Order: sequence, then C-alpha cells, then structure tokens
Amino acid sequence: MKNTMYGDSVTFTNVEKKYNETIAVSNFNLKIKESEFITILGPSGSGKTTVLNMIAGFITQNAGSIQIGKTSIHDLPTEKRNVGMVFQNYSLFPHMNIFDNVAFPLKMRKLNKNQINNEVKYALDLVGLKDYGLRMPNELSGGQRQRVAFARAIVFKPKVLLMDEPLGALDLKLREKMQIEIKNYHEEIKCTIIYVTHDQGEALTLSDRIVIMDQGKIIQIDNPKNIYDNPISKFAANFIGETNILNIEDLKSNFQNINNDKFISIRPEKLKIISNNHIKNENQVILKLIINQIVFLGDVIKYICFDENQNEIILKKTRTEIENDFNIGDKIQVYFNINDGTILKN
Amino acid sequence: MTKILNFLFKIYFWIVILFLLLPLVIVIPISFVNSKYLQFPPTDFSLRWYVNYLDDPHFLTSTLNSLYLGFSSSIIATIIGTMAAIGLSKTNFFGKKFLMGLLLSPLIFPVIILGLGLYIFLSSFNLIENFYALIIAHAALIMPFSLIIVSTSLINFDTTLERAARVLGASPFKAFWFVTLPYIKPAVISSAIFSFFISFDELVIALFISGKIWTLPQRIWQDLRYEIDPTIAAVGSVLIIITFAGILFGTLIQKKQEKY
Repeated sequence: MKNTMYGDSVTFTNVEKKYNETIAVSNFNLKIKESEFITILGPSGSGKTTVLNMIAGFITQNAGSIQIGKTSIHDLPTEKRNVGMVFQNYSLFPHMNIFDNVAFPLKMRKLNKNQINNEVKYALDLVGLKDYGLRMPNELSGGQRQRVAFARAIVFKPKVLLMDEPLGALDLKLREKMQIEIKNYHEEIKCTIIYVTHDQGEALTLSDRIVIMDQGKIIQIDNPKNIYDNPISKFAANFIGETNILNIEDLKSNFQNINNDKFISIRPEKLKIISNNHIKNENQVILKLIINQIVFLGDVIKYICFDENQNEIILKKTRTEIENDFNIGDKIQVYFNINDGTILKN
Repeated sequence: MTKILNFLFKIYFWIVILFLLLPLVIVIPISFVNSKYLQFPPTDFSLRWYVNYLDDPHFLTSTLNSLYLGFSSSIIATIIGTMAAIGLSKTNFFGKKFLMGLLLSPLIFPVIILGLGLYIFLSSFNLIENFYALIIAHAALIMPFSLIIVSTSLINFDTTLERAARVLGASPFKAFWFVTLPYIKPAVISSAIFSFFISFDELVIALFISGKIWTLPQRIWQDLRYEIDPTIAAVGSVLIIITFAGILFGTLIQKKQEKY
C-alpha cells in the first residue's frame, strides 16, 4: 500500500477570474511540480481561495487554462476532477459515522465492500484513528475531526490534495502539532498538496515552495528560506515574518546604491547591539535607537524603538544574548551587516 | 416582592393553560357517557358511543375520506414545499422575498376567502365535488408549512457539505441525496406530519368545494347542526388523541435535528 501514490503537476496559464467587475485573480501563472507541497499565502481577499476553488471546480475561470497532469480540467465537473480537499471547518457529514465519512469517496467510486474496508482502515490508521470508525463527528475533538477530514480527502488516492486553511479553527498548540503531522502524511502519501493559508508560520514550516499573493496577483514564488531571506517587495517582506524597512537615503553610510533602489529590509534578529569592545568595519550600518516599548515573549524579548528619523525599528533578542536589561527610554546603538539586509525592488 | 410576582405569574400561566386545554379535555369524559345527551359531568359510563361511531357507515366513510385526503395532500405539499425551500435557499435573485411571500400567502389570507376563491375558480372548470381537486386545494393550503419548516432547517445547513460531497466524487444529485436530504429529513418528515393534521382537521375549504364527498370535520359539523349526540364526543376524543400523538411525534423528530 505504501508509496503507491504520486502527485500530479498542476499548471496555471494566464488564469483570470472576475466577479462582476472585481478582479479576484489575474495573470496567474504557476507550475506546481509533481508531489510538491506548495503553499499559497496571502491576506484575506488576496484571491488565494479563489485559486483553490478553481482547481476544485466550484468556480470557473474567465480566461486562461488549468491543467492537472497533462489534462485540461476546464470541461470536467467537480466530481470528475479526482482531487481531494480538506476544508477549514472540516465539513464532515454530520449524519454519518467516521467510517462512513471516510468511505464516502470510495462508495461514490463504486468500490466493492472489501476494498472499501481495506482503504478506510489504511486511511484511519494513517491519521491514528483506527478505533474511531463507529463514532459520530460531533463526538470528536477539533483535531480529531481534522484528521478524519484528511483521511477522507486522501482515501481514494487523489493525485492532488487541496487544503483550505485546514488548521484555522484549531488553537495554537494543536496547530503546531498538526503541521508536523501533515508534513509526515505528505512524506507518506506523496501527493501534490496545494495548501492555502494566511499564516506565514504555517507556510514556512510546511512548504517546499511558497506563493505569496496579494490583490489577485502573485508577488513572489520561492522556497521558504529564500522567501524569508530575500523578500522581493515591501509587501513580501512585511507579510513573512517581522521586518524593518529602512530608507536607503537615510543610511548615511558608504552604502553603494547601484540601481537607485529606495528601501532595504532587515530582519529584527539580524540587528546586533554594539558592545564596548566593538570593532567597526565598513560593511556595517549603525543605527542610534531609543527604546519605546518592550514586549516580553518568553524566550525572546522584542524591543520596539525609534531611530533618528522617527522610523519604528524592531529588535529581537533571545534572553541569553542580553547582558543587562534595558528600560524604556534607553538609548542604544545597533548595527547590521549590509549583506544581511535585502534590497527591495521598487 | 419578586417572589410574589413569580407566584402570580405561575397562577396566570396555569389559568391560561387551563383555559386553552379544558375545552379540549372536557370532550373526553363526555364521550364515555351512557346517556343520550351530551352531559357534563357524566354520571354513568359506557363505550356505546364509540361503538356507535364504528358502526356508523357515514362516519367511517368520512374518516377514510379524511385520512386519504390528508395523506395525499400532505405528500404532495411536502414534496413541493421541500423542493421550493431548497430552490430558494440556493439562489438569490431580485424579487425572492416577494416570491416567498406569495408562496406563504395561503397562511396569511383568511381561509374563508381562499375557500370562496377556490369555489369560484373550480366551479368554472366543473371541478366541484371532485376528490382530486380537493386534494390539490388542500395541498396548496398546507404547502407553506412544509416550505417554512424545511427552509428553517436549511438556514443552518452548511453548503460546504455539498461542496465536500462533490469534490469527493458525488454528482450533484448524489450530493443532494446522500448529504442534503439526510440533513433535512427530520424537517421533511415532521412537516409531512403537521401538514397531514392540518388537512385532516380542515373544514372551511372542504365545505366550499367538496360537495357530497364528506370529510370527517364536515360530518362532525353537519351532525352538530342537526342532532347533538355523544357520538361526536367519541369522534372528537379519537381525533384529539391521534392529533396529540402525531404532533408530539413530529416535534420529537424535529428535536432530533438540533443534535447536529
């Protein structure tokens, strides 16, 4: 049974979707590789769910084409597209027990009883709920329901699995646990997963690649590390993690600005506090800050400061890094290496 | 102070309940009298008026007529009302509220006006004293109940459930059959029960258009006008018990839906 599943590629070519005159998705080009875990990340209204609904066939694009593998899905009704889907509110059928919920896709495909029993057992085993077949959905916790929804979505071995903010309804602890589980499931079943979320942490943890969307357009596509280290625009930098965006002209340093770009992004953890025995070199930029607010986060302390130009600068330090505590109003000097910053394209 | 108020409200509550229920309940002891007249309180008990009811071919025929009429019209009304409720819940269009009001209008208009309208309308097609016309007329009268009950249950229906069924491989019809229909089933069944009893008890429209096809309420009405005899109390008692049991059953089924 193991490794019998492989994902299909999903290709978008110039896809556009309008609702009346509002453009939900435009100029959408994306090639999702076979068995890839891709996350579409964006704020609400960015069009990310629209993309998912177009793959599922709940809505039809106004222009462009979508292919699963080599097949154009334009003329296929939803039930013939053979994709699995996990919904935000689980959407388990309330009148069916867990076994019947998971068996539903198999019954629709007219498998015989024996096959159904085997496949359902495999799927429930995968999500660690093999003894729950006779329970009703309302007897399970949120995390268990989500696992059932996952089992139901993959039981018929779809080549493509869609997940629409599947962890949105769970609390933080459980969310983190489920992220790891989902990653493990993906290792096991190898289908292509298209995962929609507005949670950047989830996107960074889970994905092979992240697609950042805003206002119906793709802003950036890259792997999590590159997305975090090299955001392409102000929006991308702000949306993934926290960042400080500085105006290059304000940095009165020997900074060589070749392309006349205006802004540089520097992550809070890359700012270092200048100690007494600090040796300056020319690749460093120094900022003089006044601490305006201190946020205690447990393992990390966040300092919200102002620089000389009244820009807000955020500084994050693990507690072991700080030799002595700072107070609000303290003046401190920090520096960063120019290589640690990312120049944002205009 | 509040204690006294609470006490007064309790008394008020029970007075209202008694006022509503007593006229119903009083029929039951009267049906067991031994005398030839409606008598309260009864002095002598017997089952003779029940025997009389079952022996009277007029009463039996009209009871069967009413049962047949109730079943037929409630099945028709439930199917049409359910379909209308589903259709209306899925679409949004200009004039939807107006259409809904139109569909519910038999509930709002006085039945006597409906009866008169039906009488004029049906007599122009020569359909007075036609049992099928009576069934259709009753179906039209009770359809709004199905529409309201099923619509209400659909308000809480999560349409992503249907989407989930579709994406998992169900055709639109199968998604409806396996997911939507089981969800609204308690509402559909209870609306069928309620509408059956509305038709079963209905007098005014039957008086206007049924001619010599006697329904049970018509027979009771007729008997009350010409001879007052305790058979009516026996019939009434049977009606009360059956209606009470039916409505209780319908309510219990509706309760079941709240579980989800």
